Amino acid sequence: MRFLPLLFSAILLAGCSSGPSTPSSNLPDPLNLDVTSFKLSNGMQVLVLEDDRLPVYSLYMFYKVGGKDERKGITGASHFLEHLMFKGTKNIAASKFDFMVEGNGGSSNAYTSNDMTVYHENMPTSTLDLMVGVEADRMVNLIIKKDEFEQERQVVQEERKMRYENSPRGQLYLRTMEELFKGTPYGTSVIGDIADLKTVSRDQIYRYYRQWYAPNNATLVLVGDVRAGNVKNLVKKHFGELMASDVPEQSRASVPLSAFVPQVKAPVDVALKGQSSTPVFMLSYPAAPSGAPEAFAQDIMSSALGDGKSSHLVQKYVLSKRPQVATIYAANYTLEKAGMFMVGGELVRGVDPLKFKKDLLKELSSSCMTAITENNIQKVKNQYEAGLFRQLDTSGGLAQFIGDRQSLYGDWAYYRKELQIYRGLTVKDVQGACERMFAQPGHVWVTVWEKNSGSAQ
Amino acid sequence: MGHRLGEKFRERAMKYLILLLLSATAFAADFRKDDIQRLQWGDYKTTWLEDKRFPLATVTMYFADGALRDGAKNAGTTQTALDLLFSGTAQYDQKSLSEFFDFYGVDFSHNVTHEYSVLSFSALVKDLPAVVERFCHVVKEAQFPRSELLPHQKRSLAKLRNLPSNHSALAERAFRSLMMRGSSYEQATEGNIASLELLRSESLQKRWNELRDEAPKRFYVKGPKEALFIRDQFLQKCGWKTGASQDFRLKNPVSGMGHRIFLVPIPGANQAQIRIGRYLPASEAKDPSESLSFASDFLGGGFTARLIQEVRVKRGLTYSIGSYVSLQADYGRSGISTFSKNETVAETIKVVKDILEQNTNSANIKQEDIEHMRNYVVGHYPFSFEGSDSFLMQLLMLDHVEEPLEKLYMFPEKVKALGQREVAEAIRKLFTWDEQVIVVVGDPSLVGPLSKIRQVQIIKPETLL
Repeated sequence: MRFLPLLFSAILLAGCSSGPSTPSSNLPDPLNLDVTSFKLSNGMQVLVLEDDRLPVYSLYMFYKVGGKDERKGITGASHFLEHLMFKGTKNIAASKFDFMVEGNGGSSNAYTSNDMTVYHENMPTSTLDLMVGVEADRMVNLIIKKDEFEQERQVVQEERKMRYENSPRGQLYLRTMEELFKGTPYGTSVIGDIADLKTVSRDQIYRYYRQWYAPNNATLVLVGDVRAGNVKNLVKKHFGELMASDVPEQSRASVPLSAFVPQVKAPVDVALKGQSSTPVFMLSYPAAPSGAPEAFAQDIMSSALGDGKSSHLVQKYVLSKRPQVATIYAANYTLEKAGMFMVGGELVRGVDPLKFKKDLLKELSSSCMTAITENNIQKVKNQYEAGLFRQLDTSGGLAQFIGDRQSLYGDWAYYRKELQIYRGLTVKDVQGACERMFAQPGHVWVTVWEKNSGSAQ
Repeated sequence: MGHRLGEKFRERAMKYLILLLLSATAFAADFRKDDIQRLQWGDYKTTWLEDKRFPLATVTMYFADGALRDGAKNAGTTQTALDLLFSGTAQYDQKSLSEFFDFYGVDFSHNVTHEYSVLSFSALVKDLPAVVERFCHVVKEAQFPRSELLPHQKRSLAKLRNLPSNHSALAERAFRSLMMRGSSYEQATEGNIASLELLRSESLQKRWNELRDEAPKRFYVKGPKEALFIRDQFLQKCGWKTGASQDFRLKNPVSGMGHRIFLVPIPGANQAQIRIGRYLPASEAKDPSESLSFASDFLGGGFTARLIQEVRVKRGLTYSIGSYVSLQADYGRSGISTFSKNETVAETIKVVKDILEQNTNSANIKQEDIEHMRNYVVGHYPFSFEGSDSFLMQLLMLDHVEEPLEKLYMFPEKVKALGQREVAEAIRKLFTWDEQVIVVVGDPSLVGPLSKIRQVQIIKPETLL
């Protein structure tokens, strides 16, 4: 997941004069989101956004635990647990969770990232009491039966094959993360190493669940045809008695921030053999974490370089008279405690990967002056503004938007600050970030191609 | 990472729900009905879906003319014409057009089906005058320069040649092509290697002129009221025309594709993609029924549907399985999509077969299971009205199949009337085993276990490109 779909409001350009330290609540809000926010005494954060256009609502439950919180031997635990959370609890019979949700006219799903695990449901309004109760129940009462655990182990392995082992782009991403973040908590795959998936035990997963799933490590978001007052009563009723746990915070505190930062001291080249008749590639660099001032400049830099038809790399390599790549993109992937800037794509037949890499590296280092211009930065800001509205078309989109910010920044309205920061960025700021990026001594270059000799993972 | 099941089945089911509506006697709640206004913009019927929440508008042009017009030899012409619409005019080259539209944060999209084509853009309302001005310039003056076509061809061919690296995409292409073999719908709308190599600027120009000047068309607008101010500018500057209506629809029957398994060999794959389904000829596609949609959901439309429960939950054979039915105006398709590890591919197909055969007999369908799925389908139905852009596309498709808006609001009541007999009959119509085309994309060694199910025909990947 790319954490911050970048945004910017031209409306704010002229009107906002607050400094970076201004609380977000005092900043203008182009979205006019009337969010009710409250916290239970056990630490659980709740956000409510009312919208009565349709008799439905979206519920998002964020847990601050993901791939980075695992260790060798239990890689993939967050994701495996996500699967198991749809099995039974003390109050829901085995495998009846989905029957209960769908039988009540709803749907449910979940996703796991390096930093978070998120469960979400789209439901008719009449089910609010039921579903708030269900989320409280599975926060503390999960039951993992042996046969269901083993069945789900098979399913997760099939998912791994689909996403990575039989997908050149999956291989590319997996290996890039492993190399760039080698030795850090981000250096393991979210879905888990295959050896761990085969050996991890039910007890290990259950302990992991008990360690991380607690009200003070969760944010509940409700958007749709609900009333904040009613939600408050229901949340108190179902979650109010649950005990806070201090384990997550203790675990986090024991890992210094520096442990998450990539340590790539020299260029790394990896050529994986895979089922791609033309080379697919990814070039990556260490980047700043979410919320760091440098990350905002890197966001704009990446968009100017490789986001959209008119972007620098697309024009040079894709839409030129002699295209060297069929596709190319640049992206800034910001994680909670680190980041990765990447350029990826697929070469056209006959283009040598090593020659292309050499040319790309040269191009990137010169692009800080040629691609980062006043016009291009304004263009990116305009794109962010329109893109902001596009992603908020549904209740689910809104719930994810404010829930992401609450979980990572402790402030659902943090987007107002983001707007302010983007607004303040100058050509010099972005050029500086660009130059610092490509002056780094190390980067990771990975290709997947049927003509490579390296073994695929 | 980690969605338990691809959302695409549900999205697909929702997308085509609108195409499956019958006449009805009762109305559901009129979700967002007040937001819809039918307008007349000059000679063109126009639909406005009001959305006051954000200052963003979407303008969509529907052309009742699609890839069928290309024919086999020129397959991909319509798609490429829209791909390259913004590649240059006498006044502006590709780069300056890209710069202009990107500067305003404009998002373009297009979709070419065999029956119709859609071109769409979204932009901030405040920018609409400038955006429409340049957009209409392109509509009138697009040139499809050879200098842009040649690199585009090179890129398109590269992507197509590398399609076998994406097993799921290859399976979809193979499934569609083999299921439709012998019909006008066999060719993929994006074309094939042979047809793409033949593309010329002149043919793209001619194709675009046909869409612009001859194809019957309708317009769709989503956004706040201020977005409607583009009306005169959009009509006058773009200069849309409509010529004499031409019958481009060709309804060739398809038969005899069942009783076989097509294996597309990918050496080294440790997981196989499986597709099972059939082509629905015009005679069946012209008889749409909410029972078909419901039957598809009953089998594979959610986590509690028959297929996911038997194949994934009880047996752990796959991560994802779902079924769908999609109907255009003159034909349709039913399908089941899944994958499994090499060792269990044959077992997975066998389990699917058993489920299909079991559920074609109404005596094997429990009324309580129907009640459960009905609650799911009806309860979840309001979400299909939620996203304005997707709702707008539903309205467009409703018009394409020439159904009145009221049909949209009758679906829940019709579903409530379905019983075991209707559901079994619909499953029989869609998924009678002997009529199913089966496509497997996976390791060549699978020919052994698959041969025990049916005769296997090997289809080399390159013959599908």
